[in-house]
Amino acid sequence: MDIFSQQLINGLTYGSLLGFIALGYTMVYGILNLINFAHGDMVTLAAFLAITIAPLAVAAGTLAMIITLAAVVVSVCIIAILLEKIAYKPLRAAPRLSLIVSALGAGMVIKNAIMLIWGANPRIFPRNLFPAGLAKFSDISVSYLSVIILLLNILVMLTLYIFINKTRVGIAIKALSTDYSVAELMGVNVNNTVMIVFLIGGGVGALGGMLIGASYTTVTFSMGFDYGIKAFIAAILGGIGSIPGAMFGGLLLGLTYTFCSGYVSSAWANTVTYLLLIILLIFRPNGLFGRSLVQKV
Amino acid sequence: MKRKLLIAVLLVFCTIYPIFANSAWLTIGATFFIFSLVALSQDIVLGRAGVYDMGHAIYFGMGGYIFAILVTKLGMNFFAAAFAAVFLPALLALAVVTPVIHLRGDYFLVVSIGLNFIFTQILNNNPFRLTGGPNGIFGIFPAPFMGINFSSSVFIYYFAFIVITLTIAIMNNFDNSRYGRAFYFIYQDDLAAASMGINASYLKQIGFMMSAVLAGFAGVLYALEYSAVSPETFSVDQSITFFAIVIVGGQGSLPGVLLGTFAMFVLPELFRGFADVRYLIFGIAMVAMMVMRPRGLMPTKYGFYPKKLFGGDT
Amino acid sequence: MNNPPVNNIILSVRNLTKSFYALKAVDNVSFDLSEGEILGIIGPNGSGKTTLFNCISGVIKAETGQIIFEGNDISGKSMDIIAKMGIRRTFQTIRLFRDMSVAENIYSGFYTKSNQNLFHALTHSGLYGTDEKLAWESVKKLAQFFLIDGYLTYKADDLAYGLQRKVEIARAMLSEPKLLILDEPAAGMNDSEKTELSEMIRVIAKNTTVLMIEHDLDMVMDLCKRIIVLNHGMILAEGLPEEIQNNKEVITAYMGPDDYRIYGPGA
Repeated sequence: MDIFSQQLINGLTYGSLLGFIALGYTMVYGILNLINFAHGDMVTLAAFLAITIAPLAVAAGTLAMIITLAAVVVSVCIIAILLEKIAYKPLRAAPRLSLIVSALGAGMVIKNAIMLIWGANPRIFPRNLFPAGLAKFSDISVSYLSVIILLLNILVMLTLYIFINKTRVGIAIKALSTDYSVAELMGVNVNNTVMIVFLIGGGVGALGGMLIGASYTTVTFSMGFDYGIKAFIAAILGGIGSIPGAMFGGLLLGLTYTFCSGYVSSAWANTVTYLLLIILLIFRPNGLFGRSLVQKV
Repeated sequence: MKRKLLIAVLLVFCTIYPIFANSAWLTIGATFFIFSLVALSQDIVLGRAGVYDMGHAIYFGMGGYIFAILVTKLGMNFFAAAFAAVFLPALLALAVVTPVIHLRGDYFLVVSIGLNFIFTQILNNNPFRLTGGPNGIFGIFPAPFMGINFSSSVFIYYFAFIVITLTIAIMNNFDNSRYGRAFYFIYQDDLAAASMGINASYLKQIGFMMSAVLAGFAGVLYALEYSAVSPETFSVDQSITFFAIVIVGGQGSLPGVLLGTFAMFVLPELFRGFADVRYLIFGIAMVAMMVMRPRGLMPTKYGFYPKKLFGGDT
Repeated sequence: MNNPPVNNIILSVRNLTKSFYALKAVDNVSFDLSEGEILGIIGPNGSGKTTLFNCISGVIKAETGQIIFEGNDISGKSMDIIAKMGIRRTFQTIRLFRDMSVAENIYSGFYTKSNQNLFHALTHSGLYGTDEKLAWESVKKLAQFFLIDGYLTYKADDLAYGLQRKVEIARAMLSEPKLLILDEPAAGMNDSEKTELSEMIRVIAKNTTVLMIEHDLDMVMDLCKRIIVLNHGMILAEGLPEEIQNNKEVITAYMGPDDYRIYGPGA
């Protein structure tokens, strides 16, 4: 199989994973104007929780995978809600920078808690959590996992798109993202809506974390930051606050990074990726699809 | 009056410190000064001009590495190498920051992180065999001059002490000047400031250059103190630490920033035994600090006007 | 007493148009402003007055048209450059430096007059001392003129709305601008404050050209020698207060199609 197709699939896979994580960032930022720095660490937490829970669920036989997935997602969602209540809610009226530092601190806590519990060394992710094996399309072989990731990517995006635009809660989320104070005055229950956003971001992120573990076999307690930053960049690229944008930005970033890694050099892949982002932001300060904010003077 | 007394006591303490401090503690003292210098430089950009710079370790690193390369690879003398290492970061800061200075806060933040990553990747990849890769550059011993051994602990301590004291005095001057106050105006409302003829981009660039000079100086001091530089000292994690110090300590607040540096860099030395949980505690402290005192430990007080002219101050 | 009109034209707006997406906020507006006059811009809400001021002062860029100040084309120039040329303004939503003292707020007007350079700022040497003294004394004098010198030490945010407006105007006046643009300066003031403000504007107008938006029609008719009425982004009428008061189209624009008169001084 030729290099190009292989890189393409790798890039799309990596990009989809970034998209999962970017969703959490973009939704939280859309509502609270907050970069949830702790998000990447929660994604990591999901992977590590899976490492611990999977062996315990083996006893359930074929249901093991579903139980593990569910347990991890639920746990991360709970922690996401706790995170919001402890580190963000008290600071709703505080200056933006205080929120940023609080988020950084929360991320630090989660990251180091993972290190203290599971150790500083890389751990191996359970191999049997997702179906293994290769599918063959003419002369291209793609792993089942990649297919699952790509399909889930589309599925999640569609589901969320419908949710945001067709349900009451979704519209409330949209309202808060557009104009926080007015939405509040119009009777949107801010606390519940914010909680739901964190739930969604946390849940999808947890899924992403486990898929990352399955894709790359080893996980380390510190891997959250790199994924997190790339995911946030993806969210910006696609236009912050936009759900399809997050997925699209993730794919774009994933492909860029992978092709650079493959064709130029893996040592410089990060550099090229970040350079592209910077150049893009110079010419389009609101990302690819973002709208500029009109200031009332 | 109480404040002047406190400052005098601190100055005396710092001056006689090397007499009773052993070599390890001398290093801690000098390191405190060095990291305070970087934190102060971060405070100019973040605490005064209000730019969300989370890649400030770059300028610290530029100073350290430029000094290291000039001394070890080109055999330059101390003065020339230090001069270059202090002022080149300012030029590079200007070149790099100018195209992106107009970006809104959070986007600038991400760009600055990206730049930091690029910087450390360059250091790690050892292009043209200049930067020494992940191990960095060691053996930085500039030739002595007129009997002064630049690598002696005592010399470095006093050098750092003088630099930081001068910096604090100068920054204090700056805050009470046309430009220093203009920074506060930009931070409060850059549109209103513009309507008063204040060009925010221009001032931010000046702020960046000033802070790059200070951070570069800190880099030189660091290279002298440890006779080595390596990429981890100038990583994004470090930048985040400096960022947090300024916000937790209080933006634009001198005592706040010093306190924050003490907490993040000196306390860990005192509690070496708890090395593992150190960052966990920091994280908890950061969240707690922000929730309890969102404006920082010792936030700046505005409301200045000269006592003599108006009688009494706020 | 207003000065007799001087024929020297200080500001010239030509065919200015500014749209926000499909909405033409300012539609082909042209007018001249003579040096020393007080020109009032009135019109119903949403008629484009503030957008016009934003174009002139550099907050936004108009699509077409020209703005010429003292012979220089300032259309599209940035705010700080326009400010340096001698145009200062106040804002519809008051934009003071909230956490800073009243004194510091007014001091910001001295920025363009100050002679301190970076070296002076860092070392407090040379002309620093005299420059600072001059700055703060100007602040105090101006505060006394505006009757707010008792509030110099107060945090700007702590002041009542009417007082904040005065601080904003004082801040704009410190640099002795050639053109002062006021966006609804009397908003939120009671009658005695408005009378005080009118007097202050009259004194200001002796040395400064004033361009103002105001909804209080009594005040406008009293202060302004000339009035322009905007509606839907276009100039509806232009002329002396008495002419505007009796202009049928203006009355219709404000009141709807009924035969009411706007009561002003001398009606």
